[in-house]
Amino acid sequence: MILAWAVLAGLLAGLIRHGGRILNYVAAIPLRSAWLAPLAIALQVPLLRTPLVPAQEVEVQQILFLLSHLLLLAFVWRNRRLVGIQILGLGVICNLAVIAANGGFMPITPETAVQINPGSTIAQWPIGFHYGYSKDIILSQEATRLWVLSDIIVVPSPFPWPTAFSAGDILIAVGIFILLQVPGTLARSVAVESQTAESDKKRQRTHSLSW
Amino acid sequence: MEKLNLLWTQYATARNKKIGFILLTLVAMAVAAGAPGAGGGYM
Repeated sequence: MILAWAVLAGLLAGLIRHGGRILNYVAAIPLRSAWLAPLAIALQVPLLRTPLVPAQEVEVQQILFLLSHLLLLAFVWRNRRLVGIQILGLGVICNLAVIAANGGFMPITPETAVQINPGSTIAQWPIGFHYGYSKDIILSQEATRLWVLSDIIVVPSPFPWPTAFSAGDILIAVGIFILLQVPGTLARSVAVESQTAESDKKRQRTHSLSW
Repeated sequence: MEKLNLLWTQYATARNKKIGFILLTLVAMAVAAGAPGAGGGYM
């Protein structure tokens, strides 16, 4: 949920740069198949509502979670012309790679779990358990494949919401931020493209009629 | 209630609805695509 702040940060930065025009720019972002995003969340809800339990007990939730990534990839593919979505897509791929390599969950080490849960001990984070109310599984660093892409970037306490991010998460936040910074330019380029395509069609039509 | 209706007709323009829809989509993407581990995972 904390990544949603990227939207607010992007809007604020856009407001500072463009003033009230940012709203026109946002309205001009040519997003396609937007319904895929909320549907992906819906598939993830069962996993996000599961507490700390052995990973074997959340197989159904895990399958739904993996299926949701197909929708995310489809969304990225449909909107691949937007630079922000390209960066976001790279983040999705990074996260999916590490999730797929570690049995369908994002790995987090017990040490990181202690860092983001001040007052807890390593014994409270058993290896192989689903980290409650998240998409994570608790794994030791040695047992984690593609460890560098897992949740290793820690924002510890006294930050009000101590959190561990992955490199993919950062790319997703940056992608959303950038999408809200240059939407006008992108929208214009898309508009120019479609105008060019339209005039090409007209030209072809005129050409075929003249023959 | 009347004031609410007035506000709705004043601000719920097609453009503003589109902006809301796009922003909600981006929030949904951030939530669905990201996988941060937050504090409180054992409660």
